Amino acid sequence: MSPSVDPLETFREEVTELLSSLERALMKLEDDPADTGMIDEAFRSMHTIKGSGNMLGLTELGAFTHTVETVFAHVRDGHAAVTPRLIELGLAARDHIESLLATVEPDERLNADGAAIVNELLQEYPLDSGRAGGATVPAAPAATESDAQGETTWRIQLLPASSAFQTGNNPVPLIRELMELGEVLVAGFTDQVPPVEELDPELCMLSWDILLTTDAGENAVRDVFIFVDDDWDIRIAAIDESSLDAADLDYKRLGEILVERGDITADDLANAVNTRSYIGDTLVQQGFVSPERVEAALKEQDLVRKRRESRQSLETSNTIKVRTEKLDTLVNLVGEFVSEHATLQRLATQAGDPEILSTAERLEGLIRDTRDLAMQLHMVPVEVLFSGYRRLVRDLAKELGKDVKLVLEGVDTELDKNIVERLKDPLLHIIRNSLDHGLETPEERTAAGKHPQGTLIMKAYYSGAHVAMRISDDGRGINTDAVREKAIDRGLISEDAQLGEQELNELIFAPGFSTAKKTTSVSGRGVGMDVVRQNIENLGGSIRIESERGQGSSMHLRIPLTLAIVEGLLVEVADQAYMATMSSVVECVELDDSNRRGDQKLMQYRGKLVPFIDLREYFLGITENREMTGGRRQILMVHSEDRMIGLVVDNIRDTFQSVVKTLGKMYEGVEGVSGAVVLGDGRLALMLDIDRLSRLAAHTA
Amino acid sequence: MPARTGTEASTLVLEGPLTFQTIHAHRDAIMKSMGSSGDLTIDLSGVESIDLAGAQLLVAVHRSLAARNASLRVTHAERYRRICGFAGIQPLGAT
Repeated sequence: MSPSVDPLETFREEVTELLSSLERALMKLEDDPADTGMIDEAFRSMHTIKGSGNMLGLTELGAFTHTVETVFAHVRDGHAAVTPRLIELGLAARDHIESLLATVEPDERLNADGAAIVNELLQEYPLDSGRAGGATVPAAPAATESDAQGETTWRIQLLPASSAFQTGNNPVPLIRELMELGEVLVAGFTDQVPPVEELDPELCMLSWDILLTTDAGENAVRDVFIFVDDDWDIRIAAIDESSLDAADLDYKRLGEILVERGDITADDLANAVNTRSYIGDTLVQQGFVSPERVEAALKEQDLVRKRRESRQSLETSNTIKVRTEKLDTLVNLVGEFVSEHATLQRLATQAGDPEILSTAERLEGLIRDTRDLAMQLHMVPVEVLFSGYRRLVRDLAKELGKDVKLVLEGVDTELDKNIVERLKDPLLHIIRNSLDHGLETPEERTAAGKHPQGTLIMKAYYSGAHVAMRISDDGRGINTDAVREKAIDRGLISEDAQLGEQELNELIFAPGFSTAKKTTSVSGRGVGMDVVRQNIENLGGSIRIESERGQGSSMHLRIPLTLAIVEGLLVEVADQAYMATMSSVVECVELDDSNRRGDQKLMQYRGKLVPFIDLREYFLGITENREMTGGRRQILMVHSEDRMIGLVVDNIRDTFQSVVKTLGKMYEGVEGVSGAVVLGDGRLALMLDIDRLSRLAAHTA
Repeated sequence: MPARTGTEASTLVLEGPLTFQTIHAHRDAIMKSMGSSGDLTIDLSGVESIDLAGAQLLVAVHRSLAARNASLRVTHAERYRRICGFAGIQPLGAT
């Protein structure tokens, strides 16, 4: 049952996740180029890909990612700014890594693609230029950031003896040795270097502050300086330890750091603080300290804060990875559990033994808890789904010459992972349609008095046992005249058909309907909105459209939270059991003549006329015969979307939870049922497709 | 030490290693071309290696010129930048 673990496969999975977080970071950077957290995230994703790739001997991948990563480190360290070109190339690099991942042995073409990206990156960001004030050198690939256990950040203040150059104890090899221990941030100070006229060029007037983060321990750090002459001034202090309380993110204030480092005295600080302006500037202006020392102190502050933050996120995300197959199996098992328990419950009731009965009841509680937990494990935030479209929207908008902003709302809303998978294509199609047909070009928008940039909003929120989604644009809306024309053309409606706006809008869901004047690469893929509706209904969901000419369109989706287990109400129609999902049931009422309205399939319900369907008649073609059921039949009032209908059934039995099984070929083309559940006594109950039935009722009524 | 003044008075082309062993000669050459007022360009195209002493010298030159409102330009500065980048020092004057 447990699949064998191929390291390469695990790596691919890991990288796929890292690539999506890289993409997310790049997209966010595009919106806000100053978001240093995102540069950091992009860097970290690449760094981890590189490290794991190297470990598995994927040299092409390692080398390529290394260059890209270096450019991002360069930007992260403030040596260069984020440009649109960087985002472009970063995305290209992301795609290239994906291609490299898909092949065992990269061919020449692929390598050439990679080289082209690297070349362009290096042209945009020549790595040797402007590398000023401090250089971060990533640690050796094996030491990834994720392993923050037992790491300490040391501040090493290095004031070499002025004879340092002569004795050959050059600081450079020492820095190199420190780099081998971990991640290093080097700040060199030249403020003691006099003008050249006063300089004895043989004397070393330079000094350094080096921040080293390593798990090697204090002795290893001190050992680096073991052969250094006694007249060097070396101070080593731990400034951050992973054992420290991570919740305490605040590191020392700039002034405190400078005093602690001996750059200024406490008195200097007190004087500067009195002037109430920005402390670093004041200290520099008053000549207490050189700008590069303030800079170094700021970097120290930043580094420690970042380390503490990443440690905190590491601690809060105390997670393990589980393959989705395993989770699927768990959810299925729990589903079977539920079914088996129903049998047990029935047998216990038959046996009439109070002890067995109470055991069965306690078991039910436990199964319910287990089920809820299994469900939760299987839920993922819709952000996973939504953010995947950022790139699509960006690229499509570009291709179509449109300017579109994608706004995501309610991304924390959770859905069953299986549902998320099956929503990918339908949503993709809806978004394509919005971009292609709905949203206008900037010129058209300006002419229509709108903001040149169009907005596409994807929103999700809980609505009972469902998740509601809305995908709306502020484009031109549906041209109902064109829809009508096309529908007549296609023979979907007659020429004299009287249809309201909403009904015309709904026509886009009719099979084989397309309003595109010409087929584009974007939306003309031979898949219509009918397929989208079909796919969503197969999930037990529903979709409808709202559109206003000139103002835009919205797709409203209702998606069940989970596929695996449903709770429903069992009813009987001519000895066959049917089940309606609990979330759709409103009430059960008795059918009698007083609430029927003539021969029409309409009934009075709470002062309103509501259409109804007689299931006996619908499924079996038997016209109602009151004698057969003793004259008393029940109506199940159900709602779907904003419609309410009545379903006439013979009997209403009980509530029931079960795994829904798909129907075999035999039921293909049977409208009104969407699946089946196995009952405790082994019989089959058919799931009623409430959405379908309610549409049907609305049409025939 | 092979150091010579370029065709333009304000450009100095340094040659050979710019390191601790050669530092005095280079310093003297630079001081000489700094005699006149104005900006100075130091061309490192002939310099095959540079160490911290060399970098420190260029920083000191930059400081002196800055004090008299002149500027230093260091061209062909790849090696200069590299050593400064490594040591976390700003490669003053590098273009």
